Amino acid sequence: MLLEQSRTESARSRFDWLSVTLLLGGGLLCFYLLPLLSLVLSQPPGAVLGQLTDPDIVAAATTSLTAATVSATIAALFGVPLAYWLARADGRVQTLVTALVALPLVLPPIVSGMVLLTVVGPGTLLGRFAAANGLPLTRSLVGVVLAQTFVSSPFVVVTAKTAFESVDQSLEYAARSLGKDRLTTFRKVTLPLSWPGILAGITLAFARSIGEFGATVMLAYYPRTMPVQIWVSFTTMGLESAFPVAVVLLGIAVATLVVLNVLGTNPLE
Amino acid sequence: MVGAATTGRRSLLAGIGGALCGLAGCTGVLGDTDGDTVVSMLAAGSLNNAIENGLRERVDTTLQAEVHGSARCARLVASGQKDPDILSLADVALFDSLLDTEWVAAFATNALVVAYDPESDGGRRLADAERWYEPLVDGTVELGRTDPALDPLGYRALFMLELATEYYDADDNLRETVPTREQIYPETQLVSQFETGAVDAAITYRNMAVERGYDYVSLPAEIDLSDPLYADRYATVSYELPDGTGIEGAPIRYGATIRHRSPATQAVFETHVTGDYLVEFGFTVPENYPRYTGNAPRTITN
Repeated sequence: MLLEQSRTESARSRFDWLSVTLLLGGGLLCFYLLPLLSLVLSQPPGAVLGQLTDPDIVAAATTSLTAATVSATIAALFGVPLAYWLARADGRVQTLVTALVALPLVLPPIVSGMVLLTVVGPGTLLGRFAAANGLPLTRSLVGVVLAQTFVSSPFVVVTAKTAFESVDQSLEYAARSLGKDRLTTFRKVTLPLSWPGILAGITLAFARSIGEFGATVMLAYYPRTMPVQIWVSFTTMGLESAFPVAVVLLGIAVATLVVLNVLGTNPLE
Repeated sequence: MVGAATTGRRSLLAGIGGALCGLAGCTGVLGDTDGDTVVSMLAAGSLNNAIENGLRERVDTTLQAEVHGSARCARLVASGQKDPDILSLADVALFDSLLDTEWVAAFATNALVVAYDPESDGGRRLADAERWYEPLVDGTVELGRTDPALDPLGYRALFMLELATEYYDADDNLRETVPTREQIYPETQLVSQFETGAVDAAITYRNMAVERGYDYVSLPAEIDLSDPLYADRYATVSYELPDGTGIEGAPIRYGATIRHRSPATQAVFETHVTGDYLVEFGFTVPENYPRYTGNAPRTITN
């Protein structure tokens, strides 16, 4: 009897707290959903479907997906090692580097684009050299990727760093004391435990890349990504013609994020 | 279990790699491999629609037009951060003040108009008024304009109001009574404010009103800054930018120049400055335009 009562109580308090979180979170959810719903509902399905066959839109969608995939991959390849180093090394340098990684998050994207232009622009040594060798760093897919990686890779580093830090180091010590080297320990112990966090970081970086506009429009502009295409539609024909393109972008983004999550979480585990 | 996880990750990576190669292969976006001539152009924002939907289909070469505000375009080129074949700006004066170009072709003019939303009370009042500025003075119309400190449209609106005061012999000084701080929006936002009904009327360029099918009040040439013949009259008004630079009223003249000459570039340029599409998109092309100043190559002026 007593046992049952305390169980009910704990159930009730758990339920109450859950309701509170849902209430608070629900407010935020509505804040996200309402503008998106009004965007989607304001568009007749025909207008959106019409955009899907427009060669400009198809090209922009292809560029966006390609560039964001490359950017997220680069961010993962270089960001995860940096995050691991930051999580495991100590000292003042580490604090400094962490601050440095956060800088692209603070800069307005358009400023990021300008800063990148001063390094890889057509007038710079690096830009001229690359262009002369058939790999222009601006007005090219490389330019899009550079802009997106600059703006979005910090999400991988910051998120993966937190994920690595949450791994119990005594597990790593155990593996090391059993004769495994650092790399094997990382692969067999640290990475599997921190993978959900790393995946979240990669997903964020991918999402940020898909939506990147400010730096891309300064550095590349061509080939056009979806956000640039939306902006061109808006400045030439107004809101009416920009919204259907925005709905297409929304659809692509949702679909790829779902795919990324399904691929990243192994159902067998 | 660990084995299964590894396979999962490997196939994920392989999948991403495969998809990348596929995308790169079928679109050829990784480089300019097809050998087509591409002419690049950096142009003023207000030219965007005319270029995208007018000029583009009238030229044979692939045209890559990049559009920013005119002042930003000029600064990007001046600092070597952009290197377009053709540069086309909303104000010929920018070529002199910010750039070191050998020659400029003035190819079109634009005019200020007062666009209004016929579905709003304020818009109807403006349309029905004997003098368009009367409902603006008595404050019954929500007017939108852009920031005079940031873009030419903003200070040109002030010029127009001052010229209007004299032209109509108005009782109030319109430049002082009409503007309020709340009317100011960034140039791109003004359009959305207007289209979503947040403002009843907006001082804007005629080409914008024409392109988007807005209703608008045309202004007399004496005050709408469109006619080079009234240059002296326009020059009687001025505005001081926050950094102290003084700007005199002048006709709204679009200018363009070639920065990298090639037959393809020249063909695009000629269509750009002489094409009939300009009028179709709401610009005005005076009789003697395009007008070349500076040392323009003969092959272009002839």
